[in-house]
Order: sequence, then C-alpha cells, then structure tokens
Amino acid sequence: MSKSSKILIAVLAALLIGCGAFFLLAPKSAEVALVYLDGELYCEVELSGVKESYTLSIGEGNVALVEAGGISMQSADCPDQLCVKQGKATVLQPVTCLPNKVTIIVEGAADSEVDIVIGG
Amino acid sequence: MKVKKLCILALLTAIALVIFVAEGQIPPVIAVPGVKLGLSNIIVLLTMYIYGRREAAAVLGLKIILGSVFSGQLMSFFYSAAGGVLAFAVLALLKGILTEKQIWAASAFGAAAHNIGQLIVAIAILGTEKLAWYLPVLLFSGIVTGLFTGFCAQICLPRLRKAVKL
Repeated sequence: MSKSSKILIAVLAALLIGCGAFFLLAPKSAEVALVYLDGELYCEVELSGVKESYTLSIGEGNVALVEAGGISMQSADCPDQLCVKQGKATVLQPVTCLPNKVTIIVEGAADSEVDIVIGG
Repeated sequence: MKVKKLCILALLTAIALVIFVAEGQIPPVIAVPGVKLGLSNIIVLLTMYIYGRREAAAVLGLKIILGSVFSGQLMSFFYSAAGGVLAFAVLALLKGILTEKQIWAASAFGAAAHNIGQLIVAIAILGTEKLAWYLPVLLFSGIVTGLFTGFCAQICLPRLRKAVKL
C-alpha cells in the first residue's frame, strides 16, 4: 500500500471518528422542541414537563405527537413519509419534512455538559 | 470513434438513470433525509476515469435533470443539483491528485461533499441554520456510502475497459 493511501485512510478514519464522537457527546435529554414552518418559528414546545401525550398540528399537512420527553411526527400528507419514520427527534437528528418545509429541532438542557453535581 | 464514444456515454447515462430510479424504489433503511447509497454515482465515477471530467459532468448533469423528472419531485432537483455540483468539484480536483487505485477515497470525499451541498440547500430552503446539527450524521453516512460506491467503481473499471476495449 502506498504512502498516500495510508494518509487517505487516516484522514477518512479521523473524520469518521470525529463524527462518531459528536454522536456520543451531544446532549441526549430533550428539553425544548422548536417547530419551524417555512423558515419561521411556528411554536415552542416544552418537553420536560409533559405528562400526558397530545397531538400538535403543524401547518396544514403535519401532525406531531408530543410525549413525555420526546416529540415525533405522527402523520404527514407528503409522499415519502420520511419524517414519520424518523421517530423521536433528538438533538443530533431533527425531524424534517422536506416537502412541507417543517423542521422540529430539539434542544437539550443548557447545562447538559455537567454530568453530576456533587454536594449541591 | 466519435460515434462509439457518443453511444457509450449515452449508455452510461441510461445505466445511471436506471440505477437511480431503481434505488428510489428501495425503502430507506435509515429514515434520515439525505442518507442513501447513491449507487448511480458508480457510473459517474467510471465515466470520469474512463473519459474525463467533461464527460463525467455531462453524465452527472443529465442524470440529475432526468432523474428529478422521473422521480417527479421538483424539490429533489435543487438538492441533487447542489450536492452534485459540490461533489463533482471535489472529484474533479481529486482526479488530478489521486491515482486510479484510489477511487474509493475520491468517492468518499465526493459523497461527503455531496451531503454538505444538500445540507446547505436544506438550510436555505427551510430557513433554519440549526439544521447544521445534521452535519455529523450526513458526513458519516457520506463517507461510508462513498467508500462503498468507490470500491464498486474501482472493481468495475478494469473489467469495463477490457469488455468495451476503451
């Protein structure tokens, strides 16, 4: 194997590991969901205090399901149904309905980088 | 010679389109917009290494235009076009740097560039720059799928050359 091939493998491996580390480091708890329709903030949903699940219609075609600690797309009138299959939105994987221009972005708690507070 | 080239380029474009349409019928394994194998890029890679950059650009351009006509979604044209232009720029650049035995690497970088282009268009269309959170997922999947299509092209190239006597 040539030297340049080794460098290429190293660069690609570093990129893959870098992306992988991003998955691990990203905050996992979903606190607030921001729903965007056509590039504008449609509504903000508090996720941490949800006890009973309810549905939320977004625009004309989409219905989201808000549950305790998560939000997902329940139904959409688009042909590919990708947003419904995506399941719950996470910080790294917003739920997006490209045909209807709907995006659900989840944000974790601001202090999520702190694992444990000792003696607090 | 010219007729032969014209025929083979037309054939390659047709093959790329068939693969593109057939792949669209496979239900997505990972339900994230933008994550797909991109098998038709094997043909674009082969064209680039058999003929050159200009010919590959022609096949890619036709595949994008006709592909979005066949899939019937205007939106997908913008995504494919942005991804295609960026991926092509990277591939054309790497063709001068990497050897023919390193198509797999060129393909991985090209696919990553393709996904970055799509993300930029998604951010522009949806108007939310927070979609940039998608980047690690898309980069990761781009590199993995790019490696796969790159290896496929790598394996096909000598066989195709021998079969068609290019």
